[in-house]
Amino acid sequence: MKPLAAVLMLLLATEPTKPSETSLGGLGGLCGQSYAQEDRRVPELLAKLDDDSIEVRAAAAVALIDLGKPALPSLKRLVPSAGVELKDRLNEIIRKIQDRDRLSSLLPPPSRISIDAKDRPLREVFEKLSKQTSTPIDYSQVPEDAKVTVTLDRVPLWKALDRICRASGRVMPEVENDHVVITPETYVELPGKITDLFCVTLQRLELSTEVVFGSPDRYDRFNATFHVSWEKGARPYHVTAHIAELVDESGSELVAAGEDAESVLMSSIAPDMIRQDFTLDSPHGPGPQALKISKLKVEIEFEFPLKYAEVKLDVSTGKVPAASSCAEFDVRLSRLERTEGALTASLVMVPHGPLEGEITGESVVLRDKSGKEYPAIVTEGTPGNESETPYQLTFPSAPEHQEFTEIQIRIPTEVHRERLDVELKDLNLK
Amino acid sequence: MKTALLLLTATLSGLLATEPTKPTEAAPLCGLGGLCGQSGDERHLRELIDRLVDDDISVREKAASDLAEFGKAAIPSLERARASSDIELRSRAASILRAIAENEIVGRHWHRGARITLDFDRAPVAKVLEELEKQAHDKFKLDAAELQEPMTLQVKDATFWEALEAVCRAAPALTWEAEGDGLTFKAQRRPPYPAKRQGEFQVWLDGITYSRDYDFTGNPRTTFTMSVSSAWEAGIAPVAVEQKVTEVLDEDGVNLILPDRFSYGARLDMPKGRTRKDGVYLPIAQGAKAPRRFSRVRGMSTFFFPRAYEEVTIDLRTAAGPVTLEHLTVAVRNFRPLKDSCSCEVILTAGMGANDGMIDRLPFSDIAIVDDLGNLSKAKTSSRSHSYSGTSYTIHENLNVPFPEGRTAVALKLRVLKDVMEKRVAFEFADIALESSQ
Repeated sequence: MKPLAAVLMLLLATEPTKPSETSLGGLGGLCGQSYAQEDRRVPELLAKLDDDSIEVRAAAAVALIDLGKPALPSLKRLVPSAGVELKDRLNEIIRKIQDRDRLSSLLPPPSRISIDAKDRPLREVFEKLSKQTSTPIDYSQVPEDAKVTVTLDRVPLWKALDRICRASGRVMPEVENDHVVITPETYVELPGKITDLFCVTLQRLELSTEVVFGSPDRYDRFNATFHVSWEKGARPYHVTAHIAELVDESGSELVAAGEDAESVLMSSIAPDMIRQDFTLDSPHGPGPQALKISKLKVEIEFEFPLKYAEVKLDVSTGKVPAASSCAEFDVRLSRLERTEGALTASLVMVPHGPLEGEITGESVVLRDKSGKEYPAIVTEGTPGNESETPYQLTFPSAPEHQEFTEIQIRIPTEVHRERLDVELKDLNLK
Repeated sequence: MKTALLLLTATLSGLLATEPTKPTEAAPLCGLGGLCGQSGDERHLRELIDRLVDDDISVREKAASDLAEFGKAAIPSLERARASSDIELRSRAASILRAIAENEIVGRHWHRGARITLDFDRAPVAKVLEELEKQAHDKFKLDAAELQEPMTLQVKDATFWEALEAVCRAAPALTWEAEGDGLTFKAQRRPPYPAKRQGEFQVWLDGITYSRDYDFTGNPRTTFTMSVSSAWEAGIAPVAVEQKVTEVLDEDGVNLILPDRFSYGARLDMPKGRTRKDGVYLPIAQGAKAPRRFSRVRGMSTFFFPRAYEEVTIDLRTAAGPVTLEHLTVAVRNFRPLKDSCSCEVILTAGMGANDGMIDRLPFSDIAIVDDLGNLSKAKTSSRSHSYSGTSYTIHENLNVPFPEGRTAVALKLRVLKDVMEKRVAFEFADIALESSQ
């Protein structure tokens, strides 16, 4: 429940009070408590930051971060008098709260869905929902005769979608790359986790074994395919994920907690995307005969840029422009020409130190006189030496007889990392 | 008739001692037809030709098969018989000549396997292998220093693969892998692959991947991919190999294989070297329980060898129509002479008949462009695609041939593989565990 709270608070930071949330029971419980009890909770949690047990300290830190902005004054008050270790912990918590606060001002405000329907046509309910979110929803396949009874009061989008589909039983929400489709399929509860910002579902598991003659061992593999979705515009810059724990039905730990598992990194997520798939695998699986997975824990981290460094190259002369630099990196073009109709360029970036981001398609923009922007396709070349990274840029949509003014290169220099743990228990595979 | 011819081929090809690479082949077979001694041959041939018109059908047939076994040496006598005034003798001679010609083509790709006899007492493994290599006319690659441990083995009159298996089992540690035209040996224990050894071939399972795909939105799927491998003796070169698994029984004796469509494609792939490995994909019926062992796996590997070719010449100066042979047609389209090359598409369409028609009947190495001086030019690389319908298949070769400047392309010359001989190895393996034994 913790990470859910974490994300929830992230949203709360922008919206002061929501007494109505309490009516959502378990879901909104966290919020209901927030203002009435926060004064009492803060000193309690602060005291725990000094506890002898690392677990108690970590849990208190998470809880304080989850409390968010309202906890800041107390935290800041404590800093000057704190010892070295506690001071570090406090500053870390303060930084995380502030990061989240900055992020919530960068992301579009999350949808809050309110619907009160008693035996109303399902289509009508989805129509109402669509009007309360900027995430496109295609409900054209919803059976015309389907009716539903559902009451939602300021419920975040993914939970609202799930609750409507579950109440109807006749449709399933399916997230495509840039929109949601409501399909006329019997509702099935997918294992996963829905928070205010994200919806993570486990789509499939593949259990395989390789029989190698003469060897008593079988090489079992395991892979799990997840979908993660967010609301339109709230797209993360990067997503990384890994399996943190995997326990088979007999209780054997196939991936033990704390083990270093390889992460899958997803980047270059296009701005209008609302979904990303990822498949996590483990070389140790329960084998294809398994009827149950006792525990599968996955840790997902979303990265959101908070600050960018940018550089502009003057291309108004049509010739290769002079090098340009900012505090974080230098950039120079070694070639700028028309090849097979498209405007192409070779670019070399020399970072001054480690950067948070890299050059991707959306970091490069070409502008013309009127300020119109043309996106680039970026392919990374082989590095000439350690500190230089060459890139090939192509602007396929840049018209042939247009006068261009500049190429802008923008790289994130500060990011906020939001972690989401998904813990699934007793997955039935019969 | 077809099977009779096939058997005949089998016994004969060893005799095609026309190829100098296999001198020993002829020696042990000498006793067979009293082949040694020139004058004796001539007299015997005359007698056999006479018997082709005997009143007794069994005498006639025996004579025909003996003549076919003679191979090339019988050709002059048979040519004379073909010119005879006796119409029956003429037709019999013609059919024996055809059989000899076919056997000769087969003999270039297939021959009867070696018979191996090994008798060693505490001899180094490398020495045993050296003897096996010699008797089989094979090419072995090994590090003799690594294979000096002693082994004791007695093998009498065994096939090559039986002998090789016996050596691997008797040696302290020995395994092999087919590499190029030869075999490479290593001092490692050979895994106990389920294997079938038959004549010149060995077929074995070298692994099974068992995969269960549990889709939470529905449609769980279970599949097996069986890796079926085969290898053949030195000097054997199939033009196509097809490996099929026809039955997989689980521990309760339930057949897990869904009636699947014919696996196209595989046969059109000409095998290279001495081995062929196919991942045979087997989807299991939905809802079937997850097996823990296979009680039986059955299948068949088929090896195809050329038996008859037909030369086809298509005029490029006129818009020539397609050439139709028995059950296939060849057409040339879009011929274009370019500055220093010429290009065209060669399209071969063949009926698939009883499931056995589909092999590469358009050998790429046998396609050439003829210029006005009669010189041949061939393409260096092949670029082809295949397509299938229920009853026929098409090979579409996009030909680009470098061509001398100033010459004129006159015709396209190619050789079509008209008929093939098949060798089948049926395999059956019992009791394969799919779970770890711990």
